[in-house]
Amino acid sequence: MRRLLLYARHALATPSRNPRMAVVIGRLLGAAFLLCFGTGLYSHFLQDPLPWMVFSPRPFWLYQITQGIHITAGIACFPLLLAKLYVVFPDLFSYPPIANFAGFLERASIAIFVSSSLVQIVIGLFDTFQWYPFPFNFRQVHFALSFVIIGSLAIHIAVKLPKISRYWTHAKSYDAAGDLVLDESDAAPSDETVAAEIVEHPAPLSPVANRADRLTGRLFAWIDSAPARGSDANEHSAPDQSSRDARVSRRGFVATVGIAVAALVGLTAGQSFAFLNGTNVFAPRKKGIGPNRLPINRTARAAQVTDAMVGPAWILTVQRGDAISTFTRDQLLALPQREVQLPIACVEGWSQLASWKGVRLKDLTDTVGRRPGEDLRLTSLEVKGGYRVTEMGHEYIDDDLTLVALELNGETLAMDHGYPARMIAPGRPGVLQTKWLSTLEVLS
Amino acid sequence: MKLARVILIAFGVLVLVLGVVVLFETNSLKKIAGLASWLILALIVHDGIVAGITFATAFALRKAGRKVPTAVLAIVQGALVIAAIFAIVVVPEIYKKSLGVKNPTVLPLDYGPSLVAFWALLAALTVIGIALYLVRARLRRQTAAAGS
Repeated sequence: MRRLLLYARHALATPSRNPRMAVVIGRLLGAAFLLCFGTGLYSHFLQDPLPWMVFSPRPFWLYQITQGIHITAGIACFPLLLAKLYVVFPDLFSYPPIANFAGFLERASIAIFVSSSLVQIVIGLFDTFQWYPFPFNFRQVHFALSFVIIGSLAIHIAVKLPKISRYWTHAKSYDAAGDLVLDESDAAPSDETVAAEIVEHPAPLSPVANRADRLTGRLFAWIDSAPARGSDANEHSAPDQSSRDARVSRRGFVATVGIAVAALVGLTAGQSFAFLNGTNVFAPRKKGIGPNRLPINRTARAAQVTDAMVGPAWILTVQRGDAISTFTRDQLLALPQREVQLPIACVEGWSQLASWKGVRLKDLTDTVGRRPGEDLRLTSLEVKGGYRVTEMGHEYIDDDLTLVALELNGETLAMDHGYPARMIAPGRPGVLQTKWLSTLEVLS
Repeated sequence: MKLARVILIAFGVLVLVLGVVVLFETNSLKKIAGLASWLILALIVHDGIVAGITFATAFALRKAGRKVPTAVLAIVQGALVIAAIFAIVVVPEIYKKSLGVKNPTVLPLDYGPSLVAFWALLAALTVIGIALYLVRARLRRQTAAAGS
């Protein structure tokens, strides 16, 4: 067993697999995870605020940016996480597999960390195109797993802290010639180590181990049967060559990870960031595609809102206690209209700036005598759904940009965008920009 | 450093436990069992399948690495890895689109043809990269030979 694990680590030894690389990639991955965690919490509490929470509607693009970063950093985690797992892969075969209780905790925390991270980024990716082939709820699990990941990440960092500190800087990790300087315990098993192991433990114990041992021995013989470069007279001398090769291999690895991250971000982030819209070929959403030239999250049909419900009989009710005002769509159109430029920013990461026209929300709530500091409960015509009834903090009502919108991008609001009237407020997730408005109730 | 490690472990355990508590508070046992099956599946996919492929590739490349210049090997490896990462991200989109989407603004692009075009571009850049490297290496060798 010991020899097999040694063989495995020897076979997997390559210049890019070293503790310095684990630190370099680990830092990037850690930063991406923290970005995802922070922006995810912000998005979560915008949707489910704790009672004392008050948010800032300005800058109006804040949520658009934080959620765009959340999704883009999540996509960037794919190459970063795979790179990290690749670098530390030989550790899987360390001997003894579990040395003591601390070693057990370390391995257990890494197992939790790896599996939670993989599941987290995969279900996050699937959510961006509304695909839920898993036997659990996306939102609850994505939220809970984020704490599990950050917790196990902190434990992992604590366990590895001496190594992280040892290889943190370039100066501590490389000598003047640019060669990596490893502590003895960090060096991969060499040909000599493997040979010494065979001398020290000449015969494997069980028949199975014996067979496996002979197989690995044959595999190495097959590898070594190829003529080695460097034996050629035209090549550099062997030590020079191997040091140069190691550098090329390390740089190649870093370049691969860098290009993969840059290409993935460059070809998908256009769904969130307008300046990359031209290169958006792989994101699940594309700006400008949809009714009123804007994508949709939930259609009227999915929300079970029918044409009959939004016909001439439709009215918007605004109330505060006993005070009630009602408006038909024509009456709303007859009120002073304002035009604002605000983004729809979806929790799924896509966003788009659009031109909205309608009545200022404050003007409507003033008709029922709303007082400063009072919040609002919004009810949609939709028959079912987690966001049929939502609440809006007073800070959004007081903002002049918040409208009950009747037009979008110069056209009548499309049915799928919330006709006859919908909410549009600065800095809120799309799911809270209630469509097919029915009632606005001031909470006095 | 010891204090930092103790604080990190205490914080880590606290946050991890919080995550588990939130998980149990917001999900039924059946859903948690479903999640557990996915977590185990992730480990199996990683440690079993991806690791197996990596292992086999490592063996093959060790052999190739004795004959092919490291830089050429690094370019080929890099291109294969980038191609695979794009497949991991884009193939689920192609598959989901084939199953049907909730509205036409979800997955509106031609992901399959774009992925093939991306791979073709990557292959072309790889060939150009290798050619440039080999030409440069030959020039360097000639200059070195002329100088000696």
